[in-house]
Amino acid sequence: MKKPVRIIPILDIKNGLLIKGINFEGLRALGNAKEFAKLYFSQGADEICYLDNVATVYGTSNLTKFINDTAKNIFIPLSIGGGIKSVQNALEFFKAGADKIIMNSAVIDNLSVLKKISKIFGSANITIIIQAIKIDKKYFISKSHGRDTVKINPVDWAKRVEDYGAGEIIITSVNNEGLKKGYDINLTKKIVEAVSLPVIAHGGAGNVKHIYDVIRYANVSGVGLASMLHYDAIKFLPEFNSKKQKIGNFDYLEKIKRTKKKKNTILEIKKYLNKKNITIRND
Amino acid sequence: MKLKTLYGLPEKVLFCKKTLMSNQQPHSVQEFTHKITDHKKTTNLDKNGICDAWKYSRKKKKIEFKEREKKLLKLLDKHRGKGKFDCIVPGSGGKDSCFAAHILKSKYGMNPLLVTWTPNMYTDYGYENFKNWIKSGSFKSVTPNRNEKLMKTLTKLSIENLFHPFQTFMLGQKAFPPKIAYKYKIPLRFYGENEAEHHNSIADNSNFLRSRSYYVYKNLSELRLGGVKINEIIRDYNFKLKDFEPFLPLQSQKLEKFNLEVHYLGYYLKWVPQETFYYAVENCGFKPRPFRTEGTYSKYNSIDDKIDDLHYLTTFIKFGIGRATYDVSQELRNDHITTEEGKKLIKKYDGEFPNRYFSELMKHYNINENYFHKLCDKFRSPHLWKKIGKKWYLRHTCNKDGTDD
Amino acid sequence: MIKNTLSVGIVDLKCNNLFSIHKSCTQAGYKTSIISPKQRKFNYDLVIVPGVGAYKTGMKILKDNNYDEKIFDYSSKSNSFIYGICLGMQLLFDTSNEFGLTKGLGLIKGKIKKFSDRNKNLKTNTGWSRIKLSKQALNMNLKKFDNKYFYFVHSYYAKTSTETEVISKSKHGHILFPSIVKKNNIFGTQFHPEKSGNVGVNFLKHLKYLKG
Repeated sequence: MKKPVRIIPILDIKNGLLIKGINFEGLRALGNAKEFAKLYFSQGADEICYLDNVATVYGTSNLTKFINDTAKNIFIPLSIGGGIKSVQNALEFFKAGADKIIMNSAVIDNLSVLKKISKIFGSANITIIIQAIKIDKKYFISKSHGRDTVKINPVDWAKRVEDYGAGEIIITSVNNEGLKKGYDINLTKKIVEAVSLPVIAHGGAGNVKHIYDVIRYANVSGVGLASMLHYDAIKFLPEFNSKKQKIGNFDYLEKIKRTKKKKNTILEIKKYLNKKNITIRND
Repeated sequence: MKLKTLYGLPEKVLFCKKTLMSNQQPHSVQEFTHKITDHKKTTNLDKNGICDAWKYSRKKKKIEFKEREKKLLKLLDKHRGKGKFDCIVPGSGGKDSCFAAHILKSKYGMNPLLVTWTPNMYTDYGYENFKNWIKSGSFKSVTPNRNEKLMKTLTKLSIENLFHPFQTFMLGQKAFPPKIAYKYKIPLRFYGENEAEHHNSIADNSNFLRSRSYYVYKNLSELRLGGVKINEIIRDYNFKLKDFEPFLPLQSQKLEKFNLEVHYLGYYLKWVPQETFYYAVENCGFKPRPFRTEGTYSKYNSIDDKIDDLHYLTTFIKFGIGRATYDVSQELRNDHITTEEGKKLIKKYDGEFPNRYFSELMKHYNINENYFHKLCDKFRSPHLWKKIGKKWYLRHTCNKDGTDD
Repeated sequence: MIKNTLSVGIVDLKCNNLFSIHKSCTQAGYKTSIISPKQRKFNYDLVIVPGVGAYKTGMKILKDNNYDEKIFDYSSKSNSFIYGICLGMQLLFDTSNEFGLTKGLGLIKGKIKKFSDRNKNLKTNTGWSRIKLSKQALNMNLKKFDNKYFYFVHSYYAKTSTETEVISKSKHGHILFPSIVKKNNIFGTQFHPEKSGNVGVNFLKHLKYLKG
């Protein structure tokens, strides 16, 4: 009996706002992140991931109240990543309502911090996100949300973090993300084959076929979705008052036309996958 | 103790409270008469410590772009469909020229001719973007037929004499499009953002036509390239006068005969730099750099020429202003980040040495790497830099953590 | 008679997300509070031991705060009900061999084992799995939860000494493990009801019937 593939909305956040870039560039604001999280929970998402886009750059992480606000409205697992580099950071996030923490830059700087944190909190609650960048046919991992490439191959890195206590891996294709042209299935498949941990594909989903393809050919445990869901949801979520929060790229938000017609993309995705005989949670 | 200042820069170093740009920032100059001893006109800060570009950005918020668009339509109606091409869009396939060309064609029904002054050394993703730009509207593109050896020589001279690797690019970028406009008899040309947005004089903005003084000259003997008189270059490097033609602006007599209109698209359409990026990706196949640009935090600004990164190193050395400062001040003017965030980004990235293409560039221009580092030291203005041990430090920064702050 | 509003006390193991279980219990209609280490006795209708993290650490915190004593004391009272979630459920057992052998509370007979010890390719069980009710579940009115998905995240599982305590089973790879255990007033779920969507909240509501 196969475990159902998890549908996981991934939200890049900055100061409580949902932002969406392309290839992790550009910080276009799409609204209040917690409104999106609430919506996706009600539509049948299996988990929610928050990634703080700028935590590592600015060296700060002020997510606790924000995590709190989200966690009180959703009853599915919430994973949070962004600038976590110590046991203290991790504890703060768990206390605020995170079920899993996602780490990247700090672990690249020092693998032993992963070992330490997984010993205290349990591997099962630590997810490592690998943000892979392809340059001239070669793959590298990166720190700081795609900003700094590191000369390590993602597949090798996946094996190392498994040894040091990671419980799960999210593999992001920075080159594909935001473009809605499909996942990097080859890369994802290589990661799945390299480790015994659950792997979540991320970066590039644009339609249901992309999702089916990565499940079918890379055999992932879960699929991360961003642009595909957010640009859809934005059209029927309540209007965002950008006058309150004056700083940010709100130009797009101010231009879009809102419809009254609600659309449940997550439900449609699950229906499609079900039809294609993919085990999916459909309660 | 009074410190020597180079380039006629203001003695006291000040930063705009709102955009973090310093008062050392030089305004655009006429490149073809540029001498190292020239005194630069720099960004002005008023008595409250605010620069003109910030003030313009506040005015821009109140502009009724609907009205401006109407003006644009009127202008376009006058030219649309006339001749094989009805307007010119100069550019290189970066996000801004992608946006301009594509929107003029797809939304406004124009038929632009793309004019590109080819970079010194294409990056491969920059070249891909250039090709995709042309594809995005099945455009025709014109590039110069120039003596690449001369291009190389002039760039080398401009690095060694002016510490200004970008000069050859800026020369052609300004000189080439009007010539094409004249050749093909296309009277309408569009640039993107308005230069006053970038700290040039506030007076430039209300008049949307580019000032004519930018690209005309009267007499050949006035001219210097790479800081050297043209006839000296001809003599020392064995070039011919006609080799220089692509680098030099249109003769003013020719221009007076032909009524050439230059407009800033940014005057008519609300220009949000980040949004032109999204537009360019979604409509023109534009791709940002696969890795972060050295010296800043972004990946999508000026990425087609390997010499870009070196250029910003020289602005950092000469004026204390690195690439991150330029990017930050643009984002601040657009209300995309807070000054606190801006300061952190500048602290983290400004002045980062552009290692990636450095050796390749030095080899290409036949400049010894050590000699280049010596040049860095020669061009540092003492009022901006202090040497402690073997390293150089800025005396003043917007984070107030300079040696003299 | 089933009390309408049960009082629920949640033990704080200092390394887990209490916020969610607190919210879910409140959502389920219970009067919920976090137990302070200063409290000498537990005076609740239901005590929940949630848990995230390592067995050894969990046991250490229980002992350091004398929670183990307080739990034993509480469990001997009539009308008490202890509910362990995930690590909390595992702590109810005899021993675990995570990072060396550690003794648990011993309230239910059995051991905690590692998935990868049985099959090196099976590591953490992360995600949604169905629960299959056993015959022991027959009189507990749990039928509406049979075959439903709940959320699991664990690398270890319980092996009970007898089958009587196993209320439901779930699968990880080819390994069948107990997802719900019950011995009188000692109750545990390997899954997280507070993370199992609306089904999970309904499960929490149902506890008041299990308690009796």
